[in-house]
Amino acid sequence: MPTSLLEVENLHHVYRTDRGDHVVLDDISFAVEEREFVSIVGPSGCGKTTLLRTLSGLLKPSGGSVSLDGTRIDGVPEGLAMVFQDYRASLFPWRRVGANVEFPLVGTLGRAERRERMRESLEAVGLEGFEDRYPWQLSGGMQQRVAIARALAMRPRLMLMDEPFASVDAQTRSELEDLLLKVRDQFDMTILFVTHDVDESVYLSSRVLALSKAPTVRTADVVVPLATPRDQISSREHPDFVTTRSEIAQLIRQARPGGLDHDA
Amino acid sequence: MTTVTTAGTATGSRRFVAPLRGWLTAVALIAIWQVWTATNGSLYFPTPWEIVDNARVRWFSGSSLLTEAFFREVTPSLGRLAVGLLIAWVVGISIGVLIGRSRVVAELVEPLLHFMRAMPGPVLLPLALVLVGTGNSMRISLIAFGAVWPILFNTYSAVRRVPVGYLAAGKVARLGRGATLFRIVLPAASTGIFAGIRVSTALGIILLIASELVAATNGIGFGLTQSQRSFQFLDMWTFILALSALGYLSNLLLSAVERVVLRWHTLQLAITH
Repeated sequence: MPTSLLEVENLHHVYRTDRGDHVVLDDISFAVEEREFVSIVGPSGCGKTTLLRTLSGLLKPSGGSVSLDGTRIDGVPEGLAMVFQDYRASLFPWRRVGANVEFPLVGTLGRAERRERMRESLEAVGLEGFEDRYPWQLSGGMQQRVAIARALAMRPRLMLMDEPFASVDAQTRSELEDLLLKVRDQFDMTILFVTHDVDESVYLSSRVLALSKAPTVRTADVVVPLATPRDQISSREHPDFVTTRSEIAQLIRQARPGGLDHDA
Repeated sequence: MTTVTTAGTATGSRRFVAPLRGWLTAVALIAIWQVWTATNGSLYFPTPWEIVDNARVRWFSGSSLLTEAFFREVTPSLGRLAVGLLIAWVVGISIGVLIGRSRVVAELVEPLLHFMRAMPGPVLLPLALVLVGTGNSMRISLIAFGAVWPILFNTYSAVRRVPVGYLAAGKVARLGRGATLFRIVLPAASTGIFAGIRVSTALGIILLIASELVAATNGIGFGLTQSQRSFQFLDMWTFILALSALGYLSNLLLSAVERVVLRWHTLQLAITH
Protein backbone atom coordinates (compact mmCIF):
# COMPACT_ATOMS: atom_id res chain seq x y z
CA MET A 1 0.00 0.00 0.00
CA PRO A 2 1.55 3.30 -1.05
CA THR A 3 1.89 5.69 1.86
CA SER A 4 1.06 9.38 1.66
CA LEU A 5 3.64 11.97 2.57
CA LEU A 6 1.65 13.06 5.60
CA GLU A 7 -0.90 10.85 7.24
CA VAL A 8 -3.07 11.99 10.12
CA GLU A 9 -5.15 9.38 11.87
CA ASN A 10 -7.79 9.92 14.53
CA LEU A 11 -5.97 12.94 15.90
CA HIS A 12 -7.40 14.03 19.19
CA HIS A 13 -6.24 16.72 21.55
CA VAL A 14 -7.49 17.88 24.92
CA TYR A 15 -6.23 20.88 26.90
CA ARG A 16 -6.58 20.31 30.61
CA THR A 17 -7.70 23.46 32.38
CA ASP A 18 -8.84 23.98 35.96
CA ARG A 19 -12.38 24.35 34.67
CA GLY A 20 -12.28 20.94 33.12
CA ASP A 21 -11.05 19.37 29.94
CA HIS A 22 -11.30 21.35 26.74
CA VAL A 23 -11.45 19.23 23.63
CA VAL A 24 -9.77 21.08 20.77
CA LEU A 25 -9.27 18.38 18.18
CA ASP A 26 -11.80 15.61 17.95
CA ASP A 27 -10.89 12.66 15.81
CA ILE A 28 -9.32 14.26 12.75
CA SER A 29 -8.04 12.15 9.89
CA PHE A 30 -6.67 13.13 6.54
CA ALA A 31 -3.73 12.54 4.26
CA VAL A 32 -1.57 14.82 2.16
CA GLU A 33 0.10 13.51 -0.95
CA GLU A 34 3.44 14.60 -2.24
CA ARG A 35 3.41 17.95 -4.13
CA GLU A 36 -0.06 18.84 -2.95
CA PHE A 37 -0.85 22.31 -1.69
CA VAL A 38 -3.41 21.76 1.01
CA SER A 39 -5.08 24.56 2.92
CA ILE A 40 -6.80 24.18 6.21
CA VAL A 41 -9.52 26.76 6.84
CA GLY A 42 -11.75 27.21 9.79
CA PRO A 43 -13.29 29.87 11.98
CA SER A 44 -11.06 31.56 14.52
CA GLY A 45 -10.91 29.60 17.74
CA CYS A 46 -11.06 26.28 16.00
CA GLY A 47 -8.01 24.15 16.58
CA LYS A 48 -6.07 25.27 13.48
CA THR A 49 -2.92 26.27 15.29
CA THR A 50 -3.14 23.32 17.64
CA LEU A 51 -3.50 21.03 14.65
CA LEU A 52 -0.45 22.51 12.97
CA ARG A 53 1.58 22.28 16.17
CA THR A 54 0.78 18.60 16.50
CA LEU A 55 1.60 17.99 12.84
CA SER A 56 4.97 19.67 13.26
CA GLY A 57 5.80 17.65 16.33
CA LEU A 58 5.95 20.77 18.52
CA LEU A 59 2.97 19.51 20.48
CA LYS A 60 2.28 15.95 21.47
CA PRO A 61 -1.38 15.12 20.75
CA SER A 62 -3.52 13.45 23.40
CA GLY A 63 -4.41 10.70 20.96
CA GLY A 64 -4.10 9.54 17.39
CA SER A 65 -1.04 9.61 15.19
CA VAL A 66 0.80 11.71 12.64
CA SER A 67 3.09 9.99 10.18
CA LEU A 68 5.52 11.56 7.78
CA ASP A 69 6.59 9.24 4.97
CA GLY A 70 5.08 6.30 6.80
CA THR A 71 7.07 6.95 9.97
CA ARG A 72 5.14 7.99 13.03
CA ILE A 73 6.51 11.28 14.31
CA ASP A 74 7.67 11.96 17.83
CA GLY A 75 9.17 15.43 18.03
CA VAL A 76 9.97 17.60 15.02
CA PRO A 77 10.84 15.30 12.09
CA GLU A 78 13.53 15.86 9.53
CA GLY A 79 12.49 17.41 6.23
CA LEU A 80 9.93 19.68 7.82
CA ALA A 81 9.99 23.46 7.91
CA MET A 82 7.55 25.87 9.41
CA VAL A 83 6.62 29.50 8.80
CA PHE A 84 4.87 31.24 11.66
CA GLN A 85 2.30 33.99 11.63
CA ASP A 86 4.31 36.39 13.75
CA TYR A 87 7.57 36.97 11.88
CA ARG A 88 8.67 39.46 14.54
CA ALA A 89 8.70 36.71 17.16
CA SER A 90 10.34 34.11 14.99
CA LEU A 91 13.21 35.92 13.23
CA PHE A 92 16.12 36.63 15.55
CA PRO A 93 16.74 40.38 15.91
CA TRP A 94 20.42 39.87 16.84
CA ARG A 95 21.17 38.03 13.61
CA ARG A 96 21.41 39.64 10.22
CA VAL A 97 19.07 38.43 7.49
CA GLY A 98 21.70 36.08 6.04
CA ALA A 99 22.50 34.58 9.44
CA ASN A 100 18.79 34.15 10.14
CA VAL A 101 18.35 32.20 6.93
CA GLU A 102 21.45 30.09 7.62
CA PHE A 103 20.36 29.46 11.19
CA PRO A 104 18.67 26.05 10.73
CA LEU A 105 21.69 24.79 8.76
CA VAL A 106 24.35 25.52 11.38
CA GLY A 107 25.77 22.24 12.56
CA THR A 108 24.46 20.24 9.63
CA LEU A 109 26.17 21.91 6.68
CA GLY A 110 29.59 23.43 6.05
CA ARG A 111 30.07 27.18 5.92
CA ALA A 112 30.40 27.47 2.15
CA GLU A 113 27.38 25.30 1.50
CA ARG A 114 25.36 27.27 4.04
CA ARG A 115 26.18 30.54 2.34
CA GLU A 116 25.24 29.15 -1.03
CA ARG A 117 21.89 27.89 0.22
CA MET A 118 21.28 31.19 1.97
CA ARG A 119 21.95 33.16 -1.24
CA GLU A 120 19.79 30.84 -3.28
CA SER A 121 16.91 31.04 -0.80
CA LEU A 122 17.08 34.82 -0.52
CA GLU A 123 17.14 35.11 -4.28
CA ALA A 124 14.08 32.88 -4.54
CA VAL A 125 12.10 35.28 -2.35
CA GLY A 126 13.46 38.35 -4.15
CA LEU A 127 15.74 39.52 -1.36
CA GLU A 128 19.16 39.05 -2.93
CA GLY A 129 21.63 41.54 -1.51
CA PHE A 130 19.75 41.94 1.79
CA GLU A 131 21.80 39.45 3.81
CA ASP A 132 23.68 42.12 5.76
CA ARG A 133 20.56 43.93 6.93
CA TYR A 134 18.86 43.19 10.19
CA PRO A 135 15.30 41.84 9.97
CA TRP A 136 13.88 44.82 11.88
CA GLN A 137 15.24 47.16 9.21
CA LEU A 138 12.83 45.58 6.72
CA SER A 139 9.09 45.98 6.15
CA GLY A 140 6.67 43.36 7.46
CA GLY A 141 6.24 41.75 4.06
CA MET A 142 10.01 41.54 3.58
CA GLN A 143 10.45 40.03 7.02
CA GLN A 144 7.95 37.33 6.18
CA ARG A 145 9.92 36.69 2.99
CA VAL A 146 13.02 36.20 5.13
CA ALA A 147 11.06 33.70 7.23
CA ILE A 148 10.05 31.87 4.05
CA ALA A 149 13.68 31.93 2.85
CA ARG A 150 14.76 30.41 6.17
CA ALA A 151 12.26 27.60 5.65
CA LEU A 152 13.43 27.13 2.05
CA ALA A 153 17.06 26.92 3.16
CA MET A 154 16.17 23.69 4.93
CA ARG A 155 15.01 22.25 1.59
CA PRO A 156 11.96 20.78 3.30
CA ARG A 157 9.77 18.11 1.81
CA LEU A 158 6.85 19.49 3.78
CA MET A 159 6.38 23.12 4.65
CA LEU A 160 3.83 24.01 7.29
CA MET A 161 2.55 27.56 7.33
CA ASP A 162 0.51 29.01 10.17
CA GLU A 163 -1.50 31.98 8.84
CA PRO A 164 1.73 33.41 7.43
CA PHE A 165 0.13 36.36 5.66
CA ALA A 166 -2.37 37.36 8.34
CA SER A 167 -0.40 40.35 9.58
CA VAL A 168 0.52 42.09 6.32
CA ASP A 169 -1.51 44.50 4.22
CA ALA A 170 -3.69 43.32 1.32
CA GLN A 171 -1.32 44.37 -1.48
CA THR A 172 1.69 42.69 0.15
CA ARG A 173 -0.45 39.71 0.85
CA SER A 174 -1.27 38.98 -2.78
CA GLU A 175 2.39 39.51 -3.70
CA LEU A 176 3.42 36.98 -1.06
CA GLU A 177 0.76 34.53 -2.24
CA ASP A 178 2.16 34.57 -5.76
CA LEU A 179 5.70 34.36 -4.43
CA LEU A 180 4.73 31.29 -2.44
CA LEU A 181 3.26 29.57 -5.51
CA LYS A 182 6.43 30.37 -7.42
CA VAL A 183 8.86 28.98 -4.84
CA ARG A 184 6.70 25.93 -4.35
CA ASP A 185 7.18 25.01 -8.00
CA GLN A 186 10.85 25.95 -7.89
CA PHE A 187 11.64 23.84 -4.82
CA ASP A 188 9.12 21.09 -5.45
CA MET A 189 7.59 21.14 -1.98
CA THR A 190 4.44 19.94 -0.37
CA ILE A 191 2.70 22.71 1.54
CA LEU A 192 0.15 22.62 4.30
CA PHE A 193 -1.21 26.10 4.75
CA VAL A 194 -3.42 27.22 7.61
CA THR A 195 -5.60 30.27 7.13
CA HIS A 196 -8.91 31.72 8.24
CA ASP A 197 -9.40 33.29 4.82
CA VAL A 198 -11.48 31.11 2.49
CA ASP A 199 -10.53 33.15 -0.61
CA GLU A 200 -6.87 32.76 0.10
CA SER A 201 -7.20 29.02 0.62
CA VAL A 202 -9.01 28.54 -2.69
CA TYR A 203 -6.57 30.75 -4.59
CA LEU A 204 -3.48 28.95 -3.33
CA SER A 205 -4.46 25.33 -2.95
CA SER A 206 -5.04 22.21 -4.86
CA ARG A 207 -7.22 20.97 -2.00
CA VAL A 208 -8.97 22.64 0.91
CA LEU A 209 -9.85 21.04 4.23
CA ALA A 210 -12.45 22.85 6.28
CA LEU A 211 -12.62 22.57 10.03
CA SER A 212 -15.49 23.26 12.39
CA LYS A 213 -15.36 25.18 15.66
CA ALA A 214 -13.88 23.40 18.64
CA PRO A 215 -14.21 20.54 19.37
CA THR A 216 -12.89 20.51 15.86
CA VAL A 217 -13.73 17.91 13.27
CA ARG A 218 -12.97 17.94 9.60
CA THR A 219 -16.11 19.02 7.81
CA ALA A 220 -15.05 19.16 4.20
CA ASP A 221 -12.38 18.02 1.81
CA VAL A 222 -12.75 19.97 -1.40
CA VAL A 223 -10.57 19.66 -4.47
CA VAL A 224 -10.00 23.04 -6.11
CA PRO A 225 -10.72 22.67 -9.82
CA LEU A 226 -8.72 25.77 -10.88
CA ALA A 227 -5.93 25.49 -13.41
CA THR A 228 -2.34 26.45 -12.60
CA PRO A 229 -0.51 28.80 -12.77
CA ARG A 230 -2.97 31.01 -10.99
CA ASP A 231 -3.49 34.69 -11.49
CA GLN A 232 -4.69 37.16 -8.89
CA ILE A 233 -7.30 38.63 -11.21
CA SER A 234 -8.40 35.99 -13.70
CA SER A 235 -8.29 33.06 -11.26
CA ARG A 236 -10.35 34.92 -8.71
CA GLU A 237 -12.93 35.83 -11.36
CA HIS A 238 -13.23 32.30 -12.66
CA PRO A 239 -16.67 30.70 -12.05
CA ASP A 240 -14.97 27.67 -10.51
CA PHE A 241 -13.26 29.93 -7.97
CA VAL A 242 -16.56 31.52 -7.05
CA THR A 243 -18.47 28.25 -6.66
CA THR A 244 -15.67 26.53 -4.74
CA ARG A 245 -15.38 29.49 -2.41
CA SER A 246 -19.10 29.55 -1.62
CA GLU A 247 -19.17 25.79 -1.22
CA ILE A 248 -16.44 25.93 1.41
CA ALA A 249 -17.86 28.97 3.15
CA GLN A 250 -21.20 27.22 3.43
CA LEU A 251 -19.65 24.04 4.79
CA ILE A 252 -17.86 26.02 7.46
CA ARG A 253 -21.01 27.88 8.44
CA GLN A 254 -23.25 24.82 8.55
CA ALA A 255 -20.94 22.49 10.33
CA ARG A 256 -20.94 23.22 14.02
CA PRO A 257 -20.74 19.97 15.85
CA GLY A 258 -22.15 20.51 19.27
CA GLY A 259 -23.15 23.98 18.20
CA LEU A 260 -26.46 23.75 20.02
CA ASP A 261 -25.29 22.03 23.17
CA HIS A 262 -22.05 24.00 23.18
CA ASP A 263 -23.03 26.17 26.13
CA ALA A 264 -23.15 23.23 28.52
CA MET B 1 26.66 48.63 6.96
CA THR B 2 24.85 51.44 5.19
CA THR B 3 22.10 51.42 7.78
CA VAL B 4 24.62 51.74 10.57
CA THR B 5 25.73 55.08 9.24
CA THR B 6 22.17 56.34 8.89
CA ALA B 7 21.52 55.47 12.53
CA GLY B 8 24.78 57.16 13.43
CA THR B 9 24.09 60.47 11.72
CA ALA B 10 20.58 60.65 13.14
CA THR B 11 21.94 60.83 16.67
CA GLY B 12 25.34 62.23 15.68
CA SER B 13 24.90 65.87 16.66
CA ARG B 14 23.22 65.00 19.93
CA ARG B 15 25.93 62.52 20.78
CA PHE B 16 28.54 65.27 20.83
CA VAL B 17 26.60 68.20 22.22
CA ALA B 18 24.78 66.54 25.11
CA PRO B 19 27.84 65.15 26.97
CA LEU B 20 29.63 68.45 26.42
CA ARG B 21 26.83 70.29 28.19
CA GLY B 22 27.01 67.74 31.01
CA TRP B 23 30.74 68.33 31.43
CA LEU B 24 30.13 72.07 31.56
CA THR B 25 27.98 71.64 34.67
CA ALA B 26 30.62 69.45 36.28
CA VAL B 27 33.42 71.92 35.53
CA ALA B 28 31.36 74.81 36.93
CA LEU B 29 30.62 72.93 40.16
CA ILE B 30 34.26 71.95 40.63
CA ALA B 31 35.27 75.57 40.07
CA ILE B 32 32.85 76.71 42.80
CA TRP B 33 34.19 73.99 45.09
CA GLN B 34 37.76 75.07 44.37
CA VAL B 35 37.08 78.75 45.08
CA TRP B 36 35.06 77.98 48.20
CA THR B 37 37.62 75.61 49.76
CA ALA B 38 40.58 77.81 48.78
CA THR B 39 39.08 80.90 50.46
CA ASN B 40 37.76 78.91 53.42
CA GLY B 41 41.05 77.15 54.21
CA SER B 42 39.32 74.50 56.35
CA LEU B 43 41.37 71.55 57.53
CA TYR B 44 38.52 69.15 56.74
CA PHE B 45 37.94 70.39 53.20
CA PRO B 46 41.03 70.48 50.99
CA THR B 47 40.58 72.00 47.52
CA PRO B 48 39.76 69.62 44.65
CA TRP B 49 43.03 70.59 43.05
CA GLU B 50 44.94 69.41 46.14
CA ILE B 51 43.00 66.14 46.14
CA VAL B 52 43.72 65.39 42.50
CA ASP B 53 47.36 66.36 42.91
CA ASN B 54 47.67 64.16 45.98
CA ALA B 55 46.22 61.24 44.01
CA ARG B 56 48.70 61.90 41.22
CA VAL B 57 51.72 62.06 43.49
CA ARG B 58 50.57 59.13 45.59
CA TRP B 59 49.62 56.67 42.84
CA PHE B 60 50.73 57.90 39.43
CA SER B 61 54.23 59.32 39.89
CA GLY B 62 56.18 56.05 39.79
CA SER B 63 59.07 55.35 37.45
CA SER B 64 56.68 53.45 35.17
CA LEU B 65 53.64 55.59 36.05
CA LEU B 66 52.14 53.53 38.90
CA THR B 67 53.74 53.85 42.32
CA GLU B 68 54.34 51.21 44.92
CA ALA B 69 51.53 52.75 46.98
CA PHE B 70 49.13 52.09 44.10
CA PHE B 71 49.93 48.39 44.21
CA ARG B 72 49.51 48.38 47.99
CA GLU B 73 46.39 50.49 48.28
CA VAL B 74 44.41 50.18 45.04
CA THR B 75 45.35 46.93 43.28
CA PRO B 76 44.09 44.62 46.07
CA SER B 77 40.67 46.26 45.86
CA LEU B 78 40.54 45.90 42.08
CA GLY B 79 41.44 42.23 42.35
CA ARG B 80 38.79 41.54 44.98
CA LEU B 81 36.15 43.35 42.99
CA ALA B 82 37.04 41.58 39.76
CA VAL B 83 37.09 38.08 41.26
CA GLY B 84 33.99 38.69 43.38
CA LEU B 85 32.00 40.04 40.43
CA LEU B 86 33.19 37.28 38.14
CA ILE B 87 31.94 34.67 40.58
CA ALA B 88 28.66 36.56 40.97
CA TRP B 89 28.16 36.73 37.20
CA VAL B 90 28.97 33.09 36.52
CA VAL B 91 26.83 31.81 39.39
CA GLY B 92 24.04 34.34 38.79
CA ILE B 93 23.76 33.70 35.05
CA SER B 94 23.94 29.92 35.52
CA ILE B 95 21.24 29.76 38.19
CA GLY B 96 19.17 32.42 36.40
CA VAL B 97 19.18 30.38 33.18
CA LEU B 98 18.45 27.17 35.06
CA ILE B 99 15.38 28.48 36.88
CA GLY B 100 14.32 30.50 33.85
CA ARG B 101 14.29 27.41 31.68
CA SER B 102 12.78 24.98 34.14
CA ARG B 103 9.47 25.77 35.79
CA VAL B 104 9.92 22.89 38.22
CA VAL B 105 13.28 24.14 39.50
CA ALA B 106 11.90 27.68 39.69
CA GLU B 107 9.00 26.59 41.87
CA LEU B 108 11.37 24.70 44.14
CA VAL B 109 13.89 27.46 44.79
CA GLU B 110 12.21 30.78 44.06
CA PRO B 111 10.88 31.55 47.57
CA LEU B 112 14.25 30.68 49.07
CA LEU B 113 16.07 32.90 46.58
CA HIS B 114 13.76 35.83 47.31
CA PHE B 115 14.37 35.39 51.04
CA MET B 116 18.13 35.30 50.57
CA ARG B 117 18.06 38.30 48.28
CA ALA B 118 16.23 40.32 50.93
CA MET B 119 19.29 40.09 53.16
CA PRO B 120 21.45 43.15 52.69
CA GLY B 121 25.00 42.07 51.86
CA PRO B 122 26.82 43.85 54.71
CA VAL B 123 24.61 42.03 57.26
CA LEU B 124 26.55 38.91 56.46
CA LEU B 125 29.86 40.56 57.26
CA PRO B 126 30.06 39.30 60.85
CA LEU B 127 29.07 35.83 59.76
CA ALA B 128 31.59 35.87 56.91
CA LEU B 129 34.27 36.94 59.38
CA VAL B 130 33.55 33.90 61.51
CA LEU B 131 33.13 31.44 58.69
CA VAL B 132 35.70 32.49 56.13
CA GLY B 133 38.07 34.46 58.31
CA THR B 134 39.59 37.86 57.71
CA GLY B 135 41.45 37.11 54.49
CA ASN B 136 40.75 37.89 50.86
CA SER B 137 38.32 35.02 50.52
CA MET B 138 36.02 36.64 53.08
CA ARG B 139 35.89 39.87 51.09
CA ILE B 140 35.50 38.09 47.76
CA SER B 141 32.70 35.86 49.01
CA LEU B 142 30.92 38.87 50.48
CA ILE B 143 31.08 40.70 47.14
CA ALA B 144 30.01 37.60 45.25
CA PHE B 145 27.13 36.89 47.60
CA GLY B 146 25.80 40.43 47.52
CA ALA B 147 26.26 41.04 43.82
CA VAL B 148 24.82 37.73 42.66
CA TRP B 149 21.16 38.69 43.19
CA PRO B 150 20.59 41.40 40.59
CA ILE B 151 22.34 39.37 37.92
CA LEU B 152 20.50 36.22 38.93
CA PHE B 153 17.03 37.76 38.91
CA ASN B 154 17.65 39.81 35.79
CA THR B 155 18.82 36.70 33.95
CA TYR B 156 15.88 34.73 35.30
CA SER B 157 13.26 37.18 34.11
CA ALA B 158 15.02 37.78 30.78
CA VAL B 159 15.15 34.03 30.11
CA ARG B 160 11.50 33.68 31.07
CA ARG B 161 10.61 36.43 28.60
CA VAL B 162 12.35 34.83 25.61
CA PRO B 163 9.54 34.80 23.00
CA VAL B 164 8.10 31.33 22.45
CA GLY B 165 8.37 32.00 18.72
CA TYR B 166 12.19 31.98 18.96
CA LEU B 167 12.11 28.67 20.81
CA ALA B 168 9.64 27.17 18.34
CA ALA B 169 11.90 28.25 15.46
CA GLY B 170 14.76 26.48 17.24
CA LYS B 171 12.71 23.32 17.70
CA VAL B 172 11.73 23.25 14.03
CA ALA B 173 15.44 23.55 13.20
CA ARG B 174 15.90 20.51 15.49
CA LEU B 175 18.36 22.26 17.77
CA GLY B 176 19.74 20.41 20.76
CA ARG B 177 19.70 21.73 24.32
CA GLY B 178 23.14 23.32 24.16
CA ALA B 179 22.56 24.98 20.81
CA THR B 180 19.18 26.28 22.00
CA LEU B 181 20.85 27.79 25.04
CA PHE B 182 23.76 29.43 23.26
CA ARG B 183 22.14 30.41 19.98
CA ILE B 184 18.68 31.41 21.17
CA VAL B 185 18.19 31.77 24.91
CA LEU B 186 21.36 33.65 25.84
CA PRO B 187 21.33 36.10 22.89
CA ALA B 188 17.62 36.76 23.38
CA ALA B 189 18.18 37.38 27.10
CA SER B 190 21.40 39.35 26.64
CA THR B 191 19.89 42.80 27.18
CA GLY B 192 18.42 41.75 30.52
CA ILE B 193 21.64 40.00 31.52
CA PHE B 194 23.63 43.15 30.79
CA ALA B 195 21.29 45.25 32.91
CA GLY B 196 21.97 42.80 35.74
CA ILE B 197 25.73 43.06 35.22
CA ARG B 198 25.57 46.84 35.57
CA VAL B 199 23.54 46.77 38.78
CA SER B 200 25.68 44.02 40.29
CA THR B 201 28.85 46.00 39.58
CA ALA B 202 27.58 49.06 41.42
CA LEU B 203 26.57 46.84 44.32
CA GLY B 204 29.92 45.06 44.22
CA ILE B 205 31.79 48.32 44.81
CA ILE B 206 29.69 49.12 47.88
CA LEU B 207 30.33 45.64 49.26
CA LEU B 208 34.02 45.89 48.47
CA ILE B 209 34.36 48.98 50.61
CA ALA B 210 32.20 47.54 53.39
CA SER B 211 34.38 44.45 53.48
CA GLU B 212 37.56 46.52 53.61
CA LEU B 213 36.39 48.56 56.57
CA VAL B 214 36.68 45.52 58.81
CA ALA B 215 39.88 43.68 59.68
CA ALA B 216 41.66 44.73 56.50
CA THR B 217 45.33 45.48 55.98
CA ASN B 218 45.15 47.02 52.52
CA GLY B 219 42.78 48.27 49.86
CA ILE B 220 40.87 51.49 49.22
CA GLY B 221 38.39 50.94 52.05
CA PHE B 222 41.24 50.30 54.47
CA GLY B 223 43.06 53.42 53.29
CA LEU B 224 39.88 55.42 53.77
CA THR B 225 39.39 54.44 57.40
CA GLN B 226 43.11 54.63 58.20
CA SER B 227 43.46 58.19 56.92
CA GLN B 228 40.26 59.23 58.66
CA ARG B 229 41.43 57.80 61.99
CA SER B 230 44.81 59.48 61.71
CA PHE B 231 43.24 62.83 60.73
CA GLN B 232 44.81 62.77 57.25
CA PHE B 233 41.85 64.47 55.64
CA LEU B 234 43.55 65.14 52.33
CA ASP B 235 44.32 61.41 52.03
CA MET B 236 40.80 60.55 53.09
CA TRP B 237 39.38 62.72 50.31
CA THR B 238 41.83 61.13 47.89
CA PHE B 239 40.49 57.68 48.72
CA ILE B 240 36.95 58.96 48.26
CA LEU B 241 37.99 60.26 44.85
CA ALA B 242 39.50 56.86 44.03
CA LEU B 243 36.19 55.19 44.88
CA SER B 244 34.16 57.48 42.68
CA ALA B 245 36.66 56.98 39.89
CA LEU B 246 36.36 53.22 40.31
CA GLY B 247 32.58 53.39 40.01
CA TYR B 248 32.69 55.76 37.07
CA LEU B 249 35.36 53.87 35.13
CA SER B 250 33.78 50.45 35.64
CA ASN B 251 30.52 51.81 34.31
CA LEU B 252 32.33 53.32 31.35
CA LEU B 253 34.01 49.99 30.64
CA LEU B 254 30.73 48.10 30.84
CA SER B 255 29.00 50.56 28.53
CA ALA B 256 31.77 50.12 25.99
CA VAL B 257 31.48 46.32 26.13
CA GLU B 258 27.71 46.56 25.97
CA ARG B 259 27.85 48.83 22.94
CA VAL B 260 29.88 46.23 21.08
CA VAL B 261 28.00 43.12 22.21
CA LEU B 262 24.51 44.60 21.98
CA ARG B 263 25.09 46.78 18.95
CA TRP B 264 22.11 45.19 17.18
CA HIS B 265 19.92 46.20 20.10
CA THR B 266 21.09 49.82 20.20
CA LEU B 267 20.51 50.13 16.47
CA GLN B 268 17.15 48.45 16.70
CA LEU B 269 16.04 50.89 19.39
CA ALA B 270 17.26 53.83 17.33
CA ILE B 271 15.24 52.68 14.34
CA THR B 272 12.06 51.27 15.79
CA HIS B 273 11.40 54.00 18.36
